[in-house]
Amino acid sequence: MNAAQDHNKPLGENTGNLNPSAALSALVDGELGESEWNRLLSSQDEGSDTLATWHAYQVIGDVLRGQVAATCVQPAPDFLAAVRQGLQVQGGEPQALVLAAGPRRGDSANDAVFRWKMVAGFASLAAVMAVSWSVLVGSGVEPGGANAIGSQLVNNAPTQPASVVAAQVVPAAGPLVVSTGQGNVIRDAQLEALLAEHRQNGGMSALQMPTGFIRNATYDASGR
Amino acid sequence: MNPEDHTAPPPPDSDVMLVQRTLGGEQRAFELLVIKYQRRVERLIGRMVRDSDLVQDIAQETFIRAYRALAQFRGDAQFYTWLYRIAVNTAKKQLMELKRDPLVFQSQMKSTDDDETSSSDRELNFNVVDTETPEAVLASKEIALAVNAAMDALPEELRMAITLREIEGMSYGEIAQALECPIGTVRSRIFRAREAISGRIKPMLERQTGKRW
Repeated sequence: MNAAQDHNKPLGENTGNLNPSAALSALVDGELGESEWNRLLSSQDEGSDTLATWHAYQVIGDVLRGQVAATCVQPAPDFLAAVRQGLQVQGGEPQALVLAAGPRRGDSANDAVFRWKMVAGFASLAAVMAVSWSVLVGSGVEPGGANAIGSQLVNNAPTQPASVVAAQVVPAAGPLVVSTGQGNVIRDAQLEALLAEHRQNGGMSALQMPTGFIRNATYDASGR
Repeated sequence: MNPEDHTAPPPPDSDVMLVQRTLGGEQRAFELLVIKYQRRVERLIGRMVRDSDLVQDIAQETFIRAYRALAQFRGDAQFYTWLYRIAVNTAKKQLMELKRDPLVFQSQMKSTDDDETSSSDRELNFNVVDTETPEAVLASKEIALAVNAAMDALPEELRMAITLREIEGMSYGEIAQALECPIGTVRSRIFRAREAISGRIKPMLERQTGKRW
């Protein structure tokens, strides 16, 4: 057999005899078939050569991609042995396994009695009905239904036209512009009240020893 | 050639499968992950810590923590991205405990945080890191030369297949389309290429590791 024929011979999944190295090669590329997983991992238990092969394949890939240097800070077998030892010493287990082995919440004592489940169902239903009834009564809804609610809302609505309401509210809330000899002055009721409060609390009468600076800083400027 | 070969659904991520196998109680699956990512984790921690002994300790602790928290890995991100965060947190915690000043290069950490194979990561290719001895650097270069020499010696079909896979990152299906051959043939060629290359570097790796697995 020449070399080209040898290269073209496919290594299918269903060849029966699994070549661990070929399976590892496919695993490196993420192309390992589901059916080969069990056979590969079980074959790992037979010898440690697969670990060396796996390591070599990883190094080849990293070197070809130029990502990581081929050597380790610590030799890979030593490193793996240290991790194994650490897992044994610290009793490390994946959390899922620990949770699976942990205590489970048990069934209630009356779980097998069906009438208790019926009682619970009726109680829930009664509670829902009671809450619904209280809501309906509290909102004053007559048995007339949705139309009754709509008419009630219409009856409670204010009869004043919207334009009248706006005319009453706007002057009180907004500032008023007053034209004076010195120009336009904005008069705002809230601002006036605020300034009055400042005059009361920050004026000269409230300060024991007024200084020039404080005098200048007050709002008590009656001379102006 | 069977055209259906090219339309086969891609198999699940091998890292995710290894995690699931580990959670199912097969510790060997986790060991494969340890071997796969040991060098990258060491390299990452080596950028934060000068002491090579401390790098080893933190790397080991990283994998132990990862093993314990493995159920929290949901597979949303790449496994290395998840492992990366554990490694960085472990290193920071260890440095805090030792009250040492971390030699953290913030720009590199930030760039590798977003992308596990960022350009800055690639640019560190074979540059001397403080934790690497001159012997380790030399050994790395020897292995790289051996890999490249073995690649040159490969038949064209094998070299093309493994190049498309390892360097271009193409799937078996895509390579089968490009080379117009069945997926089984692609798989066979890549395996044979790896076998030929590993035959050259395995003695060097064993000499470097100093002991068998």
